[in-house]
Amino acid sequence: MSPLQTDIWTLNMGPQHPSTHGVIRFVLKTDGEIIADADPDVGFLHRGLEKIAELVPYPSFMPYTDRLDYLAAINMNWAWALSIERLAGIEVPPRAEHLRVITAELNRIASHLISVGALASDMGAFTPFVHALRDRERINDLFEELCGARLTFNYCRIGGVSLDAPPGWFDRVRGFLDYYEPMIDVFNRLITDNKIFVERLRRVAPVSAEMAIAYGLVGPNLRGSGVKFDLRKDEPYGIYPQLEFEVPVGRGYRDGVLGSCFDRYMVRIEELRQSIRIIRQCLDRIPEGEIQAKVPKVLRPAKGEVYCRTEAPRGEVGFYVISNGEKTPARVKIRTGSWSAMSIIRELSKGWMIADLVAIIGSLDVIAPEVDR
Amino acid sequence: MNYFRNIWEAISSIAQGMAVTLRQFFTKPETVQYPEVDVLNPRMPGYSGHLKPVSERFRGFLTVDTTVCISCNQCAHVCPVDCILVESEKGPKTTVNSLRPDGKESPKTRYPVQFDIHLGRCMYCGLCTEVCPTGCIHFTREFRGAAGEYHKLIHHFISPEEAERVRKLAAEEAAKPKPEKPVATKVEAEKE
Ligand code: SF4
Ligand code: SF4
Repeated sequence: MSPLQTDIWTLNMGPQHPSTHGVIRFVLKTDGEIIADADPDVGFLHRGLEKIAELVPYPSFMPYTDRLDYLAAINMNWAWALSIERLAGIEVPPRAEHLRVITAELNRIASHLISVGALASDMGAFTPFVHALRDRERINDLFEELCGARLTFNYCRIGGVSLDAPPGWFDRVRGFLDYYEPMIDVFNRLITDNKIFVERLRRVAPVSAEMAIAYGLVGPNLRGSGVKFDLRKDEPYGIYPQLEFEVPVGRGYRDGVLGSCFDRYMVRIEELRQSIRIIRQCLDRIPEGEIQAKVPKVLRPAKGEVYCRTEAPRGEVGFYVISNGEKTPARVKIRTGSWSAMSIIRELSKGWMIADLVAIIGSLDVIAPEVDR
Repeated sequence: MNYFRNIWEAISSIAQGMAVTLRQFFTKPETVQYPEVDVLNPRMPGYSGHLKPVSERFRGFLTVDTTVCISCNQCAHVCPVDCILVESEKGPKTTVNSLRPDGKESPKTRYPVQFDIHLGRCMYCGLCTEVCPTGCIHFTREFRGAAGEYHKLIHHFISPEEAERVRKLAAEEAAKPKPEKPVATKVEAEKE
């Protein structure tokens, strides 16, 4: 009797699949449940942001950076503002720097909440997602009071921030932190300790440190593999050098494999605590003063180029800007964390089950607007 | 033995999670049934969660006070998506008080005869409100604006009668003997 024959099937996953986090499509070649190949097909959310950047003046590109990663708009705003400040040699007043750190870290919490919540919901546990969204909603309320928007904040400006905090805002941020800090433990009780959840993640798709570096993984995905690299520490910008915080790294949590999906998840959970710590320090020491440096109305940076990278929730975001001395940039290249995370999925998913692919995508925290720009 | 321990761990950790969920039954609801409940009304019946009516600085639809607007066109130039169109005529010289808190006076010689904002394109970024020297273009807290047809999203802030009145005024002004002043010209708001 001849051995049982199995055919390689082609299966489309996405672009409307709920766990591909936006419009991303994978063409899977599967042998039964086992993935033989996962070919990512990107470009469904391509908006040509790099081209748009060449057409609008420097300050007017700010709202577009919101759309670069709509879950962490302030971090993107900041990256763009910082690039142009470096290019034009603009000094930012200290109060604005503090406000930027506070808002960026709040945004990091909001973004990680979506990430961990979405991973749980991809694993079949929908309740944690709702819990995460509930807490994120409170952050959105804070942002709405600060700058009037709940998603596309457009808060940073070249040389500062757009608005000062309204009266009592810092107290409300503090109130939120007091409320939220114990909520992390509640969230852990709810899902992180869950045996089924842990078992589904802790040995799945480990990324070794060498592999992570070779594929250019950044941010929590890189740190999940045990590489202690955080731009806030290693290439500091803003006022991060004056703040105390730790860089959590993966270490094979719950007897798992180093760099597994669960490590990446845990790094995000630990970063929530560090962000809270950073915000508390900023709230304690925020100085009075200006929030906006003197910037010419029509900004024409001198000829030159700059590459500036910052640590966003999904890893490093970098803007490479070339100026011709005109009021619009000559060329802008954007590098984002999700793009490199996307490139590793094909290699990583070989030999795992289809259900594990969902875990891989979720734990790498890939979102479509960052991949496609 | 491990087998039973695993089962026990799975059951106990699920029970722990369920306890968290269970506690939610005794807390106040976090959400409202939106269209039924008017979220702009501060006294929302039957609701005590964290949701507040939209905040002071909320970036809703744009509106413009055309009596104050000095037609300087800065808003149209800064807008990244070209959704503002200002056309103006030159009229008699007056001064207007800024709507900003400082209330500074600005001279006004240009009167808008057309001021359109395309809310279907606007991304509510607020750049226009920041550059406006008189603060006359500003956000409202209104966010409900579904329209059946696309062109209804273009808000015209100047009625035809008002435009007619300003044109007449401008014509009278131009007719006045003023040797050094050139006649009124039209300013196109559309950027290339
Ligand atoms: S809010 Fe932004 S997009 Fe809307 S009109 Fe003003 S500048 Fe243009
Ligand atoms: S910037 Fe203000 S004053 Fe100038 S045209 Fe626009 S609305 Fe009018």
